[in-house]
Amino acid sequence: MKMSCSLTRTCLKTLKLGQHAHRTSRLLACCALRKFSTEVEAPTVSPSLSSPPPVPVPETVEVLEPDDKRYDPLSISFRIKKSKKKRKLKENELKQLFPNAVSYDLPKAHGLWPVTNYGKITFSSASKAKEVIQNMNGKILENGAVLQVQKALRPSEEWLTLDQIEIPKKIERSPTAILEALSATVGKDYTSSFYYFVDDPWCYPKSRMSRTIMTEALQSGKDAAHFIIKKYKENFEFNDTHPRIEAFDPQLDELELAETSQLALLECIKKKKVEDAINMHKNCMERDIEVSEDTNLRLLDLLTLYNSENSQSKETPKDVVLNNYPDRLGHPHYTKAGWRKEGYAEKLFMIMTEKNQLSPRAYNMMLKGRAKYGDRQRAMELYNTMKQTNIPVEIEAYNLMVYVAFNYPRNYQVEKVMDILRDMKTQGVVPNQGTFNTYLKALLDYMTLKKDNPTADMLKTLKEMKICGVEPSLATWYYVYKIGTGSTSFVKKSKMFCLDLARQIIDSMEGKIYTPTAPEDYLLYHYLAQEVRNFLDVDVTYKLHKSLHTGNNYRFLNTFKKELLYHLNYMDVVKLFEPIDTVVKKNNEMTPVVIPPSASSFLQYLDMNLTTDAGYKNLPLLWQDMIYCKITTMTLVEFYLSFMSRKKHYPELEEKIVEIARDLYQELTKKEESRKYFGVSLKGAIIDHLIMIFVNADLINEAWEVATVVSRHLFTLAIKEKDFNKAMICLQYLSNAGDFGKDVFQSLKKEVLSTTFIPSITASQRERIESLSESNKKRKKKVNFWN
Amino acid sequence: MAQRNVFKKWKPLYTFIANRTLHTSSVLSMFDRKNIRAGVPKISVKKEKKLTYQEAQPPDMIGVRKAWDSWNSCVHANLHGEDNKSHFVIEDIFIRKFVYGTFQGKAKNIIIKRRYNVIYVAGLVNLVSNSKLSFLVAYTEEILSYFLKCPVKLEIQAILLTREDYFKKI
Repeated sequence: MKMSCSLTRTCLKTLKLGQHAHRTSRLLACCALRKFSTEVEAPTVSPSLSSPPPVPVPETVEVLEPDDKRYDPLSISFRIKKSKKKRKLKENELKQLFPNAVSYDLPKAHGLWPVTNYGKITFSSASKAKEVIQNMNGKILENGAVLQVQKALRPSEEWLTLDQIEIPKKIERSPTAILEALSATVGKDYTSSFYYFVDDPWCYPKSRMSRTIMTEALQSGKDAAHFIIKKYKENFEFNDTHPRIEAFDPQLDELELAETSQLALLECIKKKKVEDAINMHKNCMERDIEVSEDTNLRLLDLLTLYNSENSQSKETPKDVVLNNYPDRLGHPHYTKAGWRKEGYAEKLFMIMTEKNQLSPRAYNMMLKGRAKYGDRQRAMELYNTMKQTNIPVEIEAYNLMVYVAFNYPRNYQVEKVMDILRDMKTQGVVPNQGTFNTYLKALLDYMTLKKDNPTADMLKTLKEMKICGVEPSLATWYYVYKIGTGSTSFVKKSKMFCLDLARQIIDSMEGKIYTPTAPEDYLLYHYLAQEVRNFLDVDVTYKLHKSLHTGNNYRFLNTFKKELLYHLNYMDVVKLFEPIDTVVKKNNEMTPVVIPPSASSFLQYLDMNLTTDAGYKNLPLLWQDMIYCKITTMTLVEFYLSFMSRKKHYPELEEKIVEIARDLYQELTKKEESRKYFGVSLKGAIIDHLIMIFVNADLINEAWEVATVVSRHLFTLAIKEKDFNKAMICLQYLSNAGDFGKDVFQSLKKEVLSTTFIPSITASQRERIESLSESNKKRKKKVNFWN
Repeated sequence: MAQRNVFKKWKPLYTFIANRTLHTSSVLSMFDRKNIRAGVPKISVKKEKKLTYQEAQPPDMIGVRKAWDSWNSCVHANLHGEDNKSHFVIEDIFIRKFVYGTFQGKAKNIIIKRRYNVIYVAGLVNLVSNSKLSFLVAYTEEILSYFLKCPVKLEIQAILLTREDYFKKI
């Protein structure tokens, strides 16, 4: 503790001087972040904006005392245990045993009492009852019977009148809360595809292009349906449901009321049609129709949210899933236009001032709108007026003002920011997650010069978050990492430092389930995966993977591209460190859905499996995947077959390889074009490999069949070039080949001699052709000659 | 004894007129199915007509080997006091025509199931491309749900060209 304080002081001194900034920041990181997860320490350097909240620990334990209202203090209950004969006590005996009692009730079964052998006796005072319990409990009677004496319960009707029934507060849950809880127990199922697709394996997308095509096809189907519904509205209007269901009415998004009135205005606001609302309000003002304060406020809400222009259309699943790096990211700081100074929001504000309808809520909405869209001047004006007139400012407005205050030049920046933060303290407003996130985001965006060093501020904010009891969200870790590793500054930090930071962040994320608060939440996981892959550290990747799969955290990989990037980086690390079996398992989980395959990925998989003999058993499955995904390119198939044909495999593998070879040969020798092997044709290298596969499996007849393909290719060659000499060469080759090319030789001969081949053949040429015969006869002659 | 004598005496023409007897012939057994003409499709000359499994079963096998094409296991059909069955018949006709048309004549034999609130439409379809199928599926789901005011889901199985989707050729 002391060491850390002194270190911080020295570090700050050096920071001021500006020397060795990166070293001190590194020390700060190591000191502070290591202790972040263990203990709470009150710092002495930084100004604390709020005192630590007291946490009351309940030390008392509940004990059922005799004042417990369930029990009647004046009465006791008794029964007989362990009697050899079933005996019941009679009144005379009771009076002997309990002389001081007021009333005696023998054991009966009436209404409220349970059906046991309990009896009840009442006394005049509670102390007497206690004495009796202590003395008479466990008393042994005749025949070994044991008396049991206890406190007596009141009948249950009396409890309700005595105790105040405390109905617990209703926890508001969404209509799908049970389903969400159930799904959280199951986790991610890698074998199922995106829920949006049609549930037939033929319709699943198998490559990256087809994935986008399928989502767009589905969405365009819906859009086509909505087009027709709009055009022929009258046919869809009949609705006979009891109770009335409005979900399938054709006019959900459109306006029903066309008159100028307050109700129509409210409808426009409800359906978020900004321009229509503006026109409606103008018309109301012209015609002097009354518009109440409430509706004006709601209109102001709308206009400040959307900057008095129509917002984008609704997000469909397609937009979410294919929208990779949107420009806006939900933050209108990225807009170039900015706050509309002549927009209708300002005019509404003037109208409301004239009518004295301004409430603190209206001021806050105006402030938020101006700050959100980056109008620094007017936001500060309003803020100052609100301060002077003591109007309370909300947390969200403060959050946005913090970002606005960073927009000043360097001389004034620190002052303005600290002014706002001090105001928060004086007002007693507790900072929440939003303030810290915007502060860090501002550090990221604005600290870009060489002399800036935002890491010190970043670490201070982390400490503050702990003190205030605010849990860091994923966006905070995103900013922390980016600031800490110096992606903004010109000086980049070393790899070890970055790894260290990443490791600590992931340790603190362990076991936590996050909810989406800021759009940068959706950027953390795949960014971290990319960074961690550069360091090639297995433990860190596995921890990240684990935190991804806790609860609902997988939803932060909401687009296809993010999923892809994350899992590619994950697999890159896994391939280097794990044995082949686990890698193959994970690859088979991931491939068709999360990482759609391509020719290069198959080649990598092949390489991996061919390094060892044990990997050959996975290759028949690869072939099936290639067919299923229709990625049968020539290079892949050649590569595959070349390795299969090199040596003789063990018999189980041989069977499968022979099946593959047969299938290939039969499909490619069909007259029709084969769709199964689209990019493949029977050419040189493939013929060689097929022959060798059959030879290694001792199937020589089939090998001969494949070999005859060569002669057929010669046939086509000879015919194309209608040249006599070349045809002669082919004929000679085939005649010397013997049985190998018998059929082809004869057919070629016919073709050459026919008039269609060459219109004019001389007699000498004909003689030469006819002299060629099958070589078997010649050989036989030679043998006879020698003998 | 006296009554019989009466009858013997009174044996005029009316005995022929008033007698009602049964005219019997040899037994017609359903197991041979020789003379049954109802519910049997006509045989074509070149044996081109394709029949599905359901169409090939005769009507006396309903409940045994032949089942229905639409199953209404929902609230508005089967409970006491609900009379919506005619409503469902019309809806079924509409659904079948609609699906037949949008899938370009390839979804003829459809099974319609109603469970609680939802209508499930199941069938076999033979289309060329994936994206076309998914486009049409999304389109039909949207429009049918807006017509019938309840969610409609299609459970379609795709058939490739090489596969034969008939049971018998007559």
